[in-house]
Amino acid sequence: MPLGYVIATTADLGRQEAVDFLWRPRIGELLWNTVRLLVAGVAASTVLGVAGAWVVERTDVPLRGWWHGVLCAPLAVPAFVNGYGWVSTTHAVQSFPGAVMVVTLSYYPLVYLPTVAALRRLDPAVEEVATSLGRSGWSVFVRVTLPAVSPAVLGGALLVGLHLLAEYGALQLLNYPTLTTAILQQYATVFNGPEATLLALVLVTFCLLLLGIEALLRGHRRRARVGSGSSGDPVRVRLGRVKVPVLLALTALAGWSLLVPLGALVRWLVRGTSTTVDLGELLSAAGTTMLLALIGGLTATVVAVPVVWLAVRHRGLLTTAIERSVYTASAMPGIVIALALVTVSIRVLPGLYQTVVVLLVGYTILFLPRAVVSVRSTFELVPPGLEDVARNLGCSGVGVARRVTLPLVLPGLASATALVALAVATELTATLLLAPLGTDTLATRFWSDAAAIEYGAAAPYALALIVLSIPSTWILGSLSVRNGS
Amino acid sequence: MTSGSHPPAALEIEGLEAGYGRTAVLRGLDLAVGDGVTAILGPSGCGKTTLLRSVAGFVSPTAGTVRLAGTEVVSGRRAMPARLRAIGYVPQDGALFPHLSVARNVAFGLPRAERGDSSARVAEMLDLVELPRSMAGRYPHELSGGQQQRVALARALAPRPGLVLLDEPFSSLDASLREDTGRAVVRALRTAGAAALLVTHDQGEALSLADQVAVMMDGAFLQVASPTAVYLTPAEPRVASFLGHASLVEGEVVNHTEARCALGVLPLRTAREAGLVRLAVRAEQIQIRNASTAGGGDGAPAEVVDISFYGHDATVRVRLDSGEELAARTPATSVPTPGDRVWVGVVGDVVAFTV
Repeated sequence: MPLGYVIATTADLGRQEAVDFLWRPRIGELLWNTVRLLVAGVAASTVLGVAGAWVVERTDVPLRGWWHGVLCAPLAVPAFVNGYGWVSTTHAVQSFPGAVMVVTLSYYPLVYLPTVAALRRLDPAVEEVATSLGRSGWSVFVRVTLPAVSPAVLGGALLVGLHLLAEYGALQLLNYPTLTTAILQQYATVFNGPEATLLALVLVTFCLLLLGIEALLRGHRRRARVGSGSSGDPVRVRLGRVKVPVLLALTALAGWSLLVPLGALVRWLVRGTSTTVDLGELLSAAGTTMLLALIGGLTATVVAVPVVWLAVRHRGLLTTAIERSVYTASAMPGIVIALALVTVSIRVLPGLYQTVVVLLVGYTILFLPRAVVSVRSTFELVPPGLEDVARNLGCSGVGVARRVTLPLVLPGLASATALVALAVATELTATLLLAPLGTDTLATRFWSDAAAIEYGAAAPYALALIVLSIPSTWILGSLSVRNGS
Repeated sequence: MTSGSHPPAALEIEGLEAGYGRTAVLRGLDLAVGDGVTAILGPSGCGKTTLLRSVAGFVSPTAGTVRLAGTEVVSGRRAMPARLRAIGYVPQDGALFPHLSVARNVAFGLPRAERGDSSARVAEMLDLVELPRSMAGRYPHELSGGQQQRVALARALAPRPGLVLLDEPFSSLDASLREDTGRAVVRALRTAGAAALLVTHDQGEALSLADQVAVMMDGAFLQVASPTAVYLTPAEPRVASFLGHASLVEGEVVNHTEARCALGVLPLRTAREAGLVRLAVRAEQIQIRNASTAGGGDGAPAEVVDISFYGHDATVRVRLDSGEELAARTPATSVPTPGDRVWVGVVGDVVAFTV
C-alpha cells in the first residue's frame, strides 16, 4: 500500500515537473549526502560490530559478559538522544565525519548482536581443523569464520543501512541534511506537497536497492553447518601483549558511545538554565509512551502470530508471499509509511485521521517484521509432532493451542512485544506525523525541546526514554547469547 | 627400548596431565604410537577427547611431554601453537568448510605454492579415500555423511602429515556405513603412510580397525596392547568387563592351574599362586543347557532373568541359585524364555585377577 501510494501521487505530478524537480542541485547534494553517509556508516558499523563480536566471543578478553553488555547498551540510547548528547558537547560533530561517527556509535549493535549469536552457533571444530592445517588466527578468521557468519553480518549491515536511510532526529540535530530530513522539512512547510512524495520515491528506490544488493551478496549457497555433532567451547585466541590495547579500545568505545551522551544528559539536568522539569508533563508523556509502546507491541505480536503460523505450518506460495511482503513493507522508512497513511486516511476514512488507530496501524506496518522474526524463531522450536501427540491424547484444536503451543511460544511472544515496544517508544518520524494533536510521547516532547535548542528542558525526557529502553535492550542482549546452545 | 637407530615414533607421550580448573582430566599418560592405527577406547567422559585435543594443541596440558616424530611440541606448560604442529585432524562431523567446494576443502591446508595448481593433488587425495573425482566440484551439503567423512580425511591427509587424529569420526554414521567407511579410512591412512590416533567409545570399531588399543578410564590408561591381547588377556577386571561383556565371579585357585567357583572348577589361562581371585567369564564362554536333559557334570543350576534377542544371537541374563548374575551369549536357535530353569556351564579357560 505505501508503495502504491508513492507511485500514485507522483504520477499526479507531470513527468516534466518531476524531472525538473529532481535535477535541481539541492537534490544532488541531498543524494550525495545520503549515499556517502550510507556507505561510510554501514562500513564503519560493520567493522566495529564484527570486531567487537570477535573480541567477545573468540579471545580470552577478561570480563567477557560485562563487555557483551556494554557493547549491546547503545541500543537503549536512541540515535537522536545520542546526537543531542554529542551536539550539546561539541559542535565539531556537525559535519560529515561527525554524522558518520554518531550514527555508527548508535547503530553498530545491529551488526554486533547477530554476529555474536552466529559465532556462538558456529561449530568450533571447523575453526580447529583450519588451525590444524597450519593457518594463523587471522587467516582462519578471514577464510573460515567470516564466510560462515557472513549471512548474519550481512543481515545486520542491511538493518543498519535501512535505519540510516530512515534516520531523521539525529541527523537533523547534527545539521546534516539527507533525503529523509528534507522530506520532513518539505512536509512541514508545504503539507504533503508532491515534492515530498517525490523525494519519498527516491528514498524507497534506495531501500529496494539495498534489499537487492543484500540478496545478491547473500547468494543462494547454503552456509548452514553440515552434520549434527556437538559444538563444544571454542579455543579462544590468547591476546597476550595486545590485551591492554584491546581493553583500552573497548573502554574508549564504551566511553564514546555511552558516557558522552549520558554525560551530556546529566550535565544539562544538573546545571542547564532551561531545566524546569514539569514533573506532571514528564509523567504524562512517559505514561503515553508506555501505553502506546505496550499497545503497539501487543498489536504487532497479535498480527504476527497468524502470519508466522501460516508460514511455518502451512508452507505454500501464498503464505511465503505474505511473509515476504511483511519484510518489504518495513524496508520503507517510517516517513514514507506515515505520509501514505495520512493521505489514505484523509481521502478514504476522514473520521480516522488524527486518531490513535492510524498511529497504531503505522507502528504495526513499521515494526511487524521484528515481531515476526521473534515469534517465528519460537514457533520453529515447537515440533509439529508435539501438537500431533496432544491431538492423539484427545485434545481439541483449541485445547492444543491453549495447553501445548501457547505455553511453549509465550516467551517468544513476550520478547516480540518487548522488541516492538522498544521500537515504538523511540520512534520519532511517524509519531510526529501521525500522532493526534496534543498526544505527546517522550520522543516527541524531547524532540520539540531539543529542536528549539532547549537542551536542558529536553534532558529529563531523554533520560526517561533511556530508562524505559533498558529492559528491552537487556532482553535482546541475553537472547543473542542464549541462542548459542 | 630407546629410539637408537630406529626412526622416532610418530607420537610419543610421557606423563601427560591436563585438566579444567581444579578437576584433573588426564592423570599422567604414557603412550607411543609407531605405525598404523592406535585406538583410544573408553566410555564417554573418560578424557579421551581431551587427550586428542592436547596432542592437536587445542588444550594446554599442565605437565608432561608430547613428541611428534622426535620433535617436542609440549613440554610441561610450554606448548607449540596448533597451527605449527602439522597434524591431520578429523573431528566428529568432519567439519567441512560449508562455503567451499570439495576441491577447495581438500586444498585448504596445502602450502601456498601448491594451492595455486592443486587439482592433481586433489584428484590424488580423492582416489586415496575412494571417492570419484567428479565430486571435486560438489559442496559439503550435497554429500552423504560417509562421503563427508572421507573428504574430511582427504583434507587432513593432503598436506602429508605424519600423524592424523580422528575424533569419533564414525559415530554419526549409521551402522551399515560405519564399517565400510572405517575400512576405507584405514586403507587410505596405510597408503598415505600416516600413523593415526583414533578416539572411540565403540569397542567393535577399536578392535577391528586398530593395530594397538589403549583402554582408558578416568583419565588413565588401564592397558595398552594389541586388540587380541586386550581382549584375551585383559590386564585388570575393568578392562575385562568393559570389553565384551565379561561377568566377574568370585573364586579360589586350587592347584595353580584351576579355580573353584559357583560355576564349578574352571581351568585358568595362566598359572598362579593359590588364593582368592576374581574370574572374568566372557558371555560367549557360557553355555546354557536345558536343566532336565543336562544334569550333573560341571556347571551350576540357574534361572533365566531376561533376554535380549538380536537375530544372529541373543544375550541371556541368568541368576545362579547361589545368587550371582551372569550374561551369556547363545545361538538364536536355542533361546530359553524368562523364568526357565537352566543348567549353566563354561567352555574354555578363564582369566583370574587378584582380589
